[in-house]
Amino acid sequence: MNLGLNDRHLRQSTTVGVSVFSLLIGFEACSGKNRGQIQTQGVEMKRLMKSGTELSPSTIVDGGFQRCHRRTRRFDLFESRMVSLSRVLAVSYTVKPSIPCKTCYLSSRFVQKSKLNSKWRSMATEPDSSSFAPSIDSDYSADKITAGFCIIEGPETVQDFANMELQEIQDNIRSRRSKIFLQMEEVRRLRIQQRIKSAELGILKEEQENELPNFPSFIPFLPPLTSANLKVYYATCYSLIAGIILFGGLIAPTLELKLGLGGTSYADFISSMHLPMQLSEVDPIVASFSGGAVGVISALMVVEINNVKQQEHKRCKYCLGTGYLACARCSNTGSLVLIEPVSTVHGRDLPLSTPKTERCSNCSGSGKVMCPTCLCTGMAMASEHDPRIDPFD
Amino acid sequence: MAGVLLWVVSPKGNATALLSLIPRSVNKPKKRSFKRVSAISGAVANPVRSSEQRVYDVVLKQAALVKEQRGRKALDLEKRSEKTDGFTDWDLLNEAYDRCGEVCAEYAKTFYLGTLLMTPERRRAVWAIYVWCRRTDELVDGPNASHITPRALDRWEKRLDDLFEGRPYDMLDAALSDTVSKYPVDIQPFKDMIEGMRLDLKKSRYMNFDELYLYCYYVAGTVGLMSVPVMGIAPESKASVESVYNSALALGIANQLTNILRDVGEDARRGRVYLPQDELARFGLSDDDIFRGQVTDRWRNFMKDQIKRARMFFDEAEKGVPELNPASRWPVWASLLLYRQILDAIEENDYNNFNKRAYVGKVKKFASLPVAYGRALMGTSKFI
Repeated sequence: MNLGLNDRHLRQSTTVGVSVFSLLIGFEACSGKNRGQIQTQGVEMKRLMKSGTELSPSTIVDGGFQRCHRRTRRFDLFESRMVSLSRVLAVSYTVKPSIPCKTCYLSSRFVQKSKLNSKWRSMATEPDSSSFAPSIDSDYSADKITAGFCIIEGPETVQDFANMELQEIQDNIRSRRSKIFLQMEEVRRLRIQQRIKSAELGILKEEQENELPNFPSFIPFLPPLTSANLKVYYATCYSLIAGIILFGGLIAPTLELKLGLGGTSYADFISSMHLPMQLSEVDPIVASFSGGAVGVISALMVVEINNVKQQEHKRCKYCLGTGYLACARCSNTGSLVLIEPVSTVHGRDLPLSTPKTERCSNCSGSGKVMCPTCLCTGMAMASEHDPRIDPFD
Repeated sequence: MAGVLLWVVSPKGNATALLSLIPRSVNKPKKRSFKRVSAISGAVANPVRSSEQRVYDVVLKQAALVKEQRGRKALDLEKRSEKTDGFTDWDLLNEAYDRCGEVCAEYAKTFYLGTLLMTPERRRAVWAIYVWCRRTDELVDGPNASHITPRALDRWEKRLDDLFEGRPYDMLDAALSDTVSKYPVDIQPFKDMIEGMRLDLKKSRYMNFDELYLYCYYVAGTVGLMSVPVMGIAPESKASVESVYNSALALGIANQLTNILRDVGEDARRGRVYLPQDELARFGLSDDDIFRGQVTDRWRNFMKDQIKRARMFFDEAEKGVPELNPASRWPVWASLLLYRQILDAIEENDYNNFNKRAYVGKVKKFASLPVAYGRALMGTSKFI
């Protein structure tokens, strides 16, 4: 009877539900408009990039806030921040090449770009003025975090992002993903230019192909495949097949070739090998079909086995391709058992309570930690496997 | 910290004669645990401490620690087992050791075969050490090395400290942590190896043998020092602990020099020269000659000199193997003899280490095994 909904409750809950729903629709509409805005911004950016304009931060900033400012109330604040950011970025872009340490360059670049993009994105996606303040804060904390970012995990490092709010985390993820996307696009365009320029300078093609490994042949003992080699492979293959057909069909009967020992016939050969005589009565068509089938099947097996070996070769050997190693602190379980000393001096006959457990801080409860060799990619040679890597192929 | 712990082995005069060998192989640190007693003692005091002296200081300190640890070992083991009991799952540990073995077999086949000659416990310990060393090396020299910052190395060092205290981070660290709890291995060589990695981030040329010696100590000498506690010194050995460590150090250096000499061409293609610049100049050579990759008479003379020095280090190392635990002598001798043969192979290639890889064939490798066995049977002899 406690569960029964009476009319009043029903009406109340319906009203609440409807209002919530309409609010959600309202937000959806706003964000839909926002999405459209982002899309137009994205299109604008693409246009900028197509026109060959260098992807300078000021361009993005200007393009970005022109759309955004209509939605923001604290436009002035943001405009000034964006302008100063772009100035900082412009400075940092010019300063960067002079930094000798490659690693410093990488980490500082990471910091700067994240500053820009996260701000831009947070502006674009959060029309509510109330969320401006947190987004600024998230940027600053994001800066602090990225400035201290380090690729090797340690016992304290998984907590790097633990102090951020959920919304901040989502913003950060979104901004980083968009950054990755943009940078991949940049890599693609740079590779186009690289190819064009090297072709102009007459640099040999093979020098450029050292980033991606040579395609190894699946069949053992054969040289590695490249696209040029492939034609040779085709030619060899077809000529071999033609040759064997010719041999079997024309040459052998003409020469009355008997491939048995000492020119014996098939029946003699079978009996000399001490095999059952019924083998000599096999129909020639059946014999050739069987022989061909056996040949094909074993060839396919060889190819498959070699394929497996090649794939294994590409796997990171430390984590066996999984990208993770078992956490030693919790022994792969994800939880630590808290052991409290129990005194039995004053103990009565009370049963012991089950020990409490807590989440393992090393692996945050997942039971596994990053493999530092392959950096969680699971591959021996981590590279971006992306069609964008070589636009001319 | 690493700087303080380098003790030089020999005075500069002797060192130059001994150190004429030196190829660098940053990407192939010697993981062989050879313990050789090398008696490069009797240092003449030098106003400026050379690398050899500093490395010798480390050796002395290691030896002293071993003596100290012998007293404290029982106590430490108890303490450690309390701490680690909650942390290790025995199945996981066994799996970790097996994984170490797989990695070793994958990346260092001959070395792996050598470890099969050891007792099972030692084998696992050596695998764990190998994997840690290899992981450290791959941080700066592996396929993903471009993401490594000095801060990352600091963190890696923090992980090392933690695992020595019984708090390993991941399963491969746990294997090393277990090894360290079973054998009196000291942390200093590991820290020195990380220091060597830091050095490698900055340096690609070595001005004189002193610098190269330091580098070789960092990447290979440390391995020798790490493995002496695992291999064990024979109880009946009358040699001093320092001399055994010295030999181990010399073996590591000899291996590294051999590696460097074998891979001159490969390293040059990556823009690195691990030969001392002053010695190159003395023979009328420069970096350009190396990058050009042509074998000239000058090159041959230079290589002869370098090979002679590497052989001297091998000889020093040979003095110490008889002082080791009998069960460990055979694998150590085997790897020593095998690696020595690489120098012969370089000579047979007419000193062309630009294009040809000095390779010891399987037949020769197998033939060295009985020879090594024979030499292993000879125990500790009178030692000066």
